[in-house]
Amino acid sequence: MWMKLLGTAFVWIGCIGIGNYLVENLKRRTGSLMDIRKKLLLLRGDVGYASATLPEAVERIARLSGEQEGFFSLLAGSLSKEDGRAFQEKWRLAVEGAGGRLALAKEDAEELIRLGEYLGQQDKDTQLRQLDWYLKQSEEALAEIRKGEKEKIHLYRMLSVLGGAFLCIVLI
Amino acid sequence: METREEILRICSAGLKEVLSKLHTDYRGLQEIRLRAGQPLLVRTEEGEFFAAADGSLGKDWRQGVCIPAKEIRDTLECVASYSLYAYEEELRQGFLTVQGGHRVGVAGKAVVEKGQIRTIKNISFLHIRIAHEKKGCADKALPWLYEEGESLPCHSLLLSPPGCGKTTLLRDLIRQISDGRPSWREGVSVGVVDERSELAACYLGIPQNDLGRRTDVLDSCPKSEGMMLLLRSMAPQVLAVDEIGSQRDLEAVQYAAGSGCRVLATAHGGSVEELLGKWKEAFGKGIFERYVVLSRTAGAGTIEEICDGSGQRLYKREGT
Repeated sequence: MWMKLLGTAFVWIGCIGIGNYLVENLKRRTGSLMDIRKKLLLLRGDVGYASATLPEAVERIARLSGEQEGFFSLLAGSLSKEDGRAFQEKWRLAVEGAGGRLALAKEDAEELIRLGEYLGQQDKDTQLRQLDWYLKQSEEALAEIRKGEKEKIHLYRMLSVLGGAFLCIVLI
Repeated sequence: METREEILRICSAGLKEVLSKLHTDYRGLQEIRLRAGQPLLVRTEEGEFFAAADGSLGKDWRQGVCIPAKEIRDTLECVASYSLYAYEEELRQGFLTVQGGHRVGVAGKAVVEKGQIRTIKNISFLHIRIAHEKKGCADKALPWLYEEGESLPCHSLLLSPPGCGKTTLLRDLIRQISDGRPSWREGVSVGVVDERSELAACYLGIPQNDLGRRTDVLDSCPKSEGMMLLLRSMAPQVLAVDEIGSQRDLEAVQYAAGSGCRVLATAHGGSVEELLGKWKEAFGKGIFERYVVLSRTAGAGTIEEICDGSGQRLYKREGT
């Protein structure tokens, strides 16, 4: 009997854990999007004001933010290699490489990869417009996430506790 | 960094593969020409050759490796550090200068607005001109640029058609004038306005070429503004600029010469007579006291003749 109770307790704890994991993921997605937006704003400043090249600007941003293995530090490392690969490819690989740390949803990552396809190719005005467009898009995405964030967090937590309790009852 | 590495780092992956195998010494390489859909051409001291995929050089164009348009696009991306927007002004002028002072000329479809080139798009032609730092190449010309007993050189103009070594000679003149030579003349402070980053080849503000211990460099600045700025800020005894040509450049040279500073400059031209005819008004004022005419007759940097301000010949190459 005690073993059965112990097992169901573990199941319940597991369910609560899953709920917390989902909540954390949601929070990390918001955090990652905000972080990317903050750094892209810095990039916009470097491009618009100082006409810095992308390798210079990306390296500076990675250094200033103290990133170790994040998106910008991966990209800076890749750009410094001068292996003849196209920028878009390096950008895409950096987004994919930093995937775990970025905690972005699939659609966020795809949007970020798409931005890389346009960077460095056009004149400064178009370049800045591209960055502005991405920043606007991501702001809308962020607003959308925030709108339902509280409800979702509440839902995940409630469902995990109640779902766990339901499973326990069924198991007992 | 060696010339080979400097060139390979601006090439796309495909082009890098061919150029890394090139059967020639990069020190003797003068230019690389890339044209979309055409074979790769290189020019060395021995002449012009088509480069094959295995890096061998030959005169038969059919053996030359064909360059796809994508390789040119990717190479341009590398040349511009993935940031074409940062080189809008250079693109308008038709070339970019890369680390090491090498010049990459571009051609494609020009976008014109109100009679002015706004940018160049669909770039399908690249011309990589390799800069060479030849220390000592000014040994022959330098003594002719001084008047007896003078510690500063005369106002001098180096003159030749493109690709004859004006910039290389000017670079070595700057270095030698800046450093000085024991038991000959002491070094003096030299200001360099390096509009195209070809003389000093500055990278992150630090000259990659040796321009001497008493040289200040103003990088990527228009010549006329740069000359004024250096005169005010650094008080150079000698001011050096590459490729003067516009009326504003001449006015700035005149101003600098009138402020007690000696001017060293280069200009495109075939002969002193031609130059004196072309800029009669400016040169009639007698700014320059020495003209050094260069050619490729015995290799780039051959000094054909040196004349004084009135066009009187002081030196002429033997055998001409």
